Amino acid sequence: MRITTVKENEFYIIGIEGDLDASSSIQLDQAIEEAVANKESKIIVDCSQLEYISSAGLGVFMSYIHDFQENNISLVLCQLSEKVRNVFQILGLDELIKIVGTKEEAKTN
Amino acid sequence: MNNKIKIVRKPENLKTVRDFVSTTLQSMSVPDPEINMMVLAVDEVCANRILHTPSNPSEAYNNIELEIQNDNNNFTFLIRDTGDPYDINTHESPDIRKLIAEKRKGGIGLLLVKKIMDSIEISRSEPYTVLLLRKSLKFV
Repeated sequence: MRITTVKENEFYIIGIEGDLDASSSIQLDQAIEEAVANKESKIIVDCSQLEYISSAGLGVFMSYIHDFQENNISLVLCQLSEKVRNVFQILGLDELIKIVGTKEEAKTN
Repeated sequence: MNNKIKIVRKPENLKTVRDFVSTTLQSMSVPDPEINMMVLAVDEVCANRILHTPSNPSEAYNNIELEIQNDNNNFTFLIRDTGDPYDINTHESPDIRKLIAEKRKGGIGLLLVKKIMDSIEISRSEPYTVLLLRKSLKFV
């Protein structure tokens, strides 16, 4: 798995490429931690190249929901494949984490 | 076709497990959405076995074996290793909102497995712990 980060105006974009599983989820966790340490408040996760997600990946997103709500940080996921989105839907996490279609939509949320 | 695989119990080998399940189920003409769900369930169980079982000094005891059987679209995934038995069925299903409030990163893997599979059996046959995941599919 590969993580990329880029700043686009006020948005901090984290791109995930490949498989997000028990062996790689720590990299995503570190990328989000880094964003928080940099005081980023508008984080977009570009999932266009994310091919697989397991509970380890879901758990990383889950663990920040509370803090982000308290600290007014927005986290929006975009461009998920149907396969990846289905995994969020199994436990209803798609209702607790903001998921939109395109990166442009993510910027307007 | 060989429906068995053996991997060394390491997280980086989960991809090999997923590819094996996916390829095997494709060869059995299972539709993609069902393949994706079963791949996830097997991955979760193997990850659980890898992360929560201490490694054994003997290399022979650090493997996970997986076998896939298909009897008229009744699928059985047999997962065997030498780790301690852990009864997935007595594992209390966590409340997602509670996990979020506690900022937990783990705890939902087995919940996913229970949602996807029809049944999960665990037994001990020395020196092995054997997990059987079953799923029946009805194709249109």
